Amino acid sequence: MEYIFHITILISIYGILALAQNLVMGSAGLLTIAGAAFYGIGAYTAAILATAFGFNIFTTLIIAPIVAGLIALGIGISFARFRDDYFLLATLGFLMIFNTVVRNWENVTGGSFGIAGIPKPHIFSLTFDTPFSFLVLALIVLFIVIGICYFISRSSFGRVLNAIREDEDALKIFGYKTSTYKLMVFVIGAMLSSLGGVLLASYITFIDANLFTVNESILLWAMIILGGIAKNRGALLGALLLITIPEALRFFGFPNEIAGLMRQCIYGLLLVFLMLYRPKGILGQYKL
Amino acid sequence: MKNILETKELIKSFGGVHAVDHLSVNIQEGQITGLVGPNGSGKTTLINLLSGFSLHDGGSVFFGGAERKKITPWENQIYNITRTFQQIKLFDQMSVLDNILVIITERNPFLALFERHSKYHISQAEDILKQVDLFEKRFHNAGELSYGQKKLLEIGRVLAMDTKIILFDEPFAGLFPEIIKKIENIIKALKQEGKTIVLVEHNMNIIRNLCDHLIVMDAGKLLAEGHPEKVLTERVVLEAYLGE
Amino acid sequence: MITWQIILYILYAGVLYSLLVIGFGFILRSVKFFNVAYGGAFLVGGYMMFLFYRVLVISFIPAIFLSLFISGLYLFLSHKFIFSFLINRKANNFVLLIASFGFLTATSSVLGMIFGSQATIIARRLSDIHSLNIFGGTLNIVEALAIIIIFTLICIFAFIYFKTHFGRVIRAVEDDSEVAELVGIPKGKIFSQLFFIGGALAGLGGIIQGLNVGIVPASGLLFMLPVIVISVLGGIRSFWGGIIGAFILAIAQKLTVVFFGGSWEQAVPFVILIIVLLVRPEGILKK
Repeated sequence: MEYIFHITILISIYGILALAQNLVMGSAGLLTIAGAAFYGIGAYTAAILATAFGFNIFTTLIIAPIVAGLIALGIGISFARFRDDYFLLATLGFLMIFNTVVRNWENVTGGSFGIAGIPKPHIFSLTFDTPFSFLVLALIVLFIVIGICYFISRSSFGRVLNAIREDEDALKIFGYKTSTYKLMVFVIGAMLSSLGGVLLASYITFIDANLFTVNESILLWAMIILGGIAKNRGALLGALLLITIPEALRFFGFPNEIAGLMRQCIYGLLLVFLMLYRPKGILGQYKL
Repeated sequence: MKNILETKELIKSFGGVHAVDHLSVNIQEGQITGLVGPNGSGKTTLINLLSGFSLHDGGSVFFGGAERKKITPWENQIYNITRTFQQIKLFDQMSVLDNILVIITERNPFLALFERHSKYHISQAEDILKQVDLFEKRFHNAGELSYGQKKLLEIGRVLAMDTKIILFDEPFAGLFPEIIKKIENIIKALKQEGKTIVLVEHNMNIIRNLCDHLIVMDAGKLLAEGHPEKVLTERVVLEAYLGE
Repeated sequence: MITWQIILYILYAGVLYSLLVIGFGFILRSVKFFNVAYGGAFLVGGYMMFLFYRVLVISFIPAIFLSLFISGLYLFLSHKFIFSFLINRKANNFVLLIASFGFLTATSSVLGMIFGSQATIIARRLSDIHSLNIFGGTLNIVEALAIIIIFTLICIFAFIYFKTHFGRVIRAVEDDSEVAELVGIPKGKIFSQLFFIGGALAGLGGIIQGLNVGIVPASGLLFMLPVIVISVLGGIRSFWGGIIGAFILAIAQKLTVVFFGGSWEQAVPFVILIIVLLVRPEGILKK
């Protein structure tokens, strides 16, 4: 039972990340690989504030999105002039710089040792230290994020994002300042991703730089494309499938390291096959 | 009649070649101005410059007498101008209805975040789709439409924008006669409403039928202008076309 | 003599990057997207050399040529079965980039499963990689040989590219593959040859890296990224721009190591990338 709770918690965390990634990459068509960086910023903000300053994780659920949002705002403004491939390269650059900073800034991030002993969330006399209680918390956050994503995709704002993905130049002619829209969705996506990071940090109580690499962003790509890009349901479905299916490897008794690599290999091949044979994913409606 | 749109010595060059070469033209309010010339004479480039699709390299553009130094496309709504595209540019993977809705909803991103399309928006969009015969297709993706329907949807977006100045870049190209008739009627109706229209077109019958004023371009320069019947008999114009 | 030592290190890093960027340039200019599968060929070259030379104990020179052949084949086949298929379907760059990232991820994890995630060292005995004293500075034998061999290769490729008929054909295809096809150049065949050559050049980079300090599955992406940065820095359409870019990056990286410490070396390319994209997106040499 505890195992099922564990998997469901992971699905919730990745569901949040996939929804955020989908908002930026699926709805607005901004090809970004910086998903893992904002996830990491959330996790590190929570970890540092909780271990060094004794903040409650609930407080960091508010603070982390603000930190991630401000960083995304700065990054988004400086990257505003890049499009398509170059936007991808710039976000890749940002992710690598984030990773290097985390590995090297030992006083703050613990360098390659990471940060251990991150407390579980507690509120009044209630502590979320059992898998079940943490699951409840993770699901609450997930539902808030789902709500926000549906709120956006059903608003006029969401329709404009889709039009930017389809033909930004044409949309501009009709009086839209598309750069502001892109900046806003980038910031919102970063803020939502950071929530996933906070949950992860307090759930596994130990984080280091290896958790937030390019591979993690590739996994997010695979999730939203497998599920069906530009669909909130697709992102959730992708997270569900790509967390549960590789768990099967565990039952074949592969050692942890090999299982990790196999999972990575599955994600990579999956992307190649989806691009070749089904760019629309399972819930296929849009394609890249 | 007043000049609602005016260019003075307008220049646009691509790699040393002047696509628009010191061009000075006037567009008068409430008229349909035809814009003709051989392929590569700079008609589409001019439309692109006027709509902010690309930036001009020199000269100036006046909107209602005031110079607009840097033409940024998102200000088009303020300056009351819109256009269609010769190479159709629809939002292919969005429904026909959404293609229209996106034109009539909120521009400000913060307000747009809290706006849902209302019954009012829908009925407005449906009215426009009825005008361009696309009401039955409203839930189809724009990418699935036939060529003629796509052209009509482009017209529909222009109707939705409802601006004073409309630039049509070859709206009739490659269409069947009945659709041509349909679009001609729409353009005439727009003129009745007092819109100012610039029309790029190759078919001289359509030009004669619709235009009040004609501008002939060749190699980025103004070759001739005036009343269509008069201009089309001028020797330089005939030579530019026949020499092609 | 510290400065001389730094110059030697810069020279080594510069030629290694030049080697990689020449091969990557061929691919980038012909298919017009940042094909990170190139980093996979780097890995394949290094690990095949380990397999042939150290595991199967084939002698040095044949092992190198076998590895180069396989890394060339790897990139050629990836193009034939994935990328050319997508390009023919008029897929946009998003699709191509995502597929190439997926392919690199799959390649490096498969190699990791076979050879392990730890650094794999190709040399049979560590004493084989002895140090040489060069006018007071030191380089090991791999670095010194690499500098000589790659300088020769740069000259050969520059000659082929600018002076021979084959080079003219390549430039025609790079310039506008459709026009080239109209004048009777077999576009598909040239693409295949370029992918094979590019893969072999990447493989050579992997072999040198594996002999010098060892190779890990992650180094495919880690080496790919500076190479992308260099091609943006040098202007993606220019042969010499790439080589100049390679040396600029090498200088910036080694000076960073001197002033800030080795752990910041990996961040240098990205800082440069973002500066270049912001200030001069067309690169140093405009074509």
